[in-house]
Amino acid sequence: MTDKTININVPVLARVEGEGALDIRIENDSITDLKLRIFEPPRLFEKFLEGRHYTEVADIVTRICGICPVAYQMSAVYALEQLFGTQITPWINAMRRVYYCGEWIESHALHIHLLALPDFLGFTNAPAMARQFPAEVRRGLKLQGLGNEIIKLFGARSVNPIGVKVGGFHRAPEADVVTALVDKLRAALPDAKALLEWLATLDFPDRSQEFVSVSLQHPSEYPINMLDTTLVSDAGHKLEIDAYEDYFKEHQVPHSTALHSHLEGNPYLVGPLARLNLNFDQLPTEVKETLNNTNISFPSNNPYHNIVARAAEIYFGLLEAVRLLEDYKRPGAAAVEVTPKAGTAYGCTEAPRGTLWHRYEIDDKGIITFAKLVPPTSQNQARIEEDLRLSLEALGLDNDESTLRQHAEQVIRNYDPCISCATHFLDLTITRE
Amino acid sequence: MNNTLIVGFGSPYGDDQFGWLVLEQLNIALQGRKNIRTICCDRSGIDWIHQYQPVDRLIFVDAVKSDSPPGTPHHLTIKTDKLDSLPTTYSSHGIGLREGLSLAAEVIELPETIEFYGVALEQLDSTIASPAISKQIELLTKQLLKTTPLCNPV
Repeated sequence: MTDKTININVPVLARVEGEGALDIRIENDSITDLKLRIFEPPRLFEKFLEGRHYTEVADIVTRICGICPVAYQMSAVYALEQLFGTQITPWINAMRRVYYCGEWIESHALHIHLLALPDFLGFTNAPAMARQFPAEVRRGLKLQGLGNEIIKLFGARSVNPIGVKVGGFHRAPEADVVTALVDKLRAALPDAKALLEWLATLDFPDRSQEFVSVSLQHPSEYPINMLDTTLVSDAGHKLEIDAYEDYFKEHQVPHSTALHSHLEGNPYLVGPLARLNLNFDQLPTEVKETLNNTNISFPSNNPYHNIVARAAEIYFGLLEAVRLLEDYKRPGAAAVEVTPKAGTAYGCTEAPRGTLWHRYEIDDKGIITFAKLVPPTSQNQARIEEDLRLSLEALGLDNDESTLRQHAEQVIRNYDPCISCATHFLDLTITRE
Repeated sequence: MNNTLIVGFGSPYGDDQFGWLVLEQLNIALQGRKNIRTICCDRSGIDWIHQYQPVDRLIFVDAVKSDSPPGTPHHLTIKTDKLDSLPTTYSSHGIGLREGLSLAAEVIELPETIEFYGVALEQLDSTIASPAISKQIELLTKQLLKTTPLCNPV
């Protein structure tokens, strides 16, 4: 038996963010070791939060991610409001839902058109794809821009927005500005529907796998924010937010600076596909009908259907924003009074990439003494490794290294990892014996 | 018709406000001039593309990190078919100005050349721009006004 080691260096793994590597060991035509190595330094945001007043949290956590800052703000403010017993108004809850829809639309549109779709259509990058599909890319950029406009409406800017506080918003948008935006959102609904219909026709490899989907669930609406939700799985879990740590365990692995998370010892999936798998019936009729007219059935165990789920959530996000904004009236106050109290605060919302769980310890002066944030990419890491193993074996391990590397990159990108969120370049080392 | 679009990149922090502040000054001077549009962006990738309408002249303004002393002006004109010569910089999800322009070149009608005006930044730690940068805001605003056909209102 010969031991053949081949190193393949990809200088820049475009279309994901962060720094990582993949090591694969193949013995007798089976994978005996596979590690997605994440070596980006820890960012220490949880430590930054210690000693800060609760009023500063929303403006600190917005800096964690340039793509999903709203999610970090939302998990934080809902956690603190629940501990403090703050009763936000229906207007605040509804407008936060709109604000979050903006982030889903911009994040999903960005991932579909610039990061993931070139893989599915056989292009090396988005500009090359745009040469063949200019109208589709223009449509995607338009949708992404609309998502950013919604975020700006409430957050003053789309990058690291600052409009949210514990108790509500700093200010309510003017009615005429909202009316103008609603007209644009309504006009874009056919674009979102067309995007979903188009993506559903892609020729997806059949890569059905056994995995557990996890997401929030609400009794009457598609899950985004935290009020009245429970954490559910298709393995039968139905948990209160504060019971999260009884079931989900983070652990350090030697090859990653990002923690791996398991549900009762096993990998699991969070994100658009998991949400759709668990909450299909809560989607608006228009989205359900569009999906029902495709050849894809949900729930789906094919991870490649993640891109279709993202498109479905763009369509949903636009419909939901229009629904909640079309009769907009500017309220007298954009926030309610808040009185802090000591204790443990638990928060959980649905970030574009999946469930984002927070826990804070607060003293009687409203100072954060401990913070724990569990982002979706951390939760998906073990699932990504499991998917890589299954997908590469299904592809055929006797393929050349270039083919294996490209396939591995596509599998990773399909999860839209954000380990800064993730992997800026991928050094793939394959050892064959 | 000589349409011009000036895109200013920036943030509310220190010298990174350069692009926004130049556009603020320009907008005061350009009141009523419909042949010149400005767009403020808070990231340099693709956000300007969906607001774009074909123009004869496209200008980007931003603070830049360089080895030059703070306040040093930088100017670059590049042919649209030579965008590959722009440097790749670290940016969110790998989508910076070069990547955004490469994408734009495929989906919208860009002019034959694109101009970049920058200034070497000093600090990002306050909400006020450094004196050296403030001086360049004034100078670049005057320069852009001088080279843009204000005498031809639509």
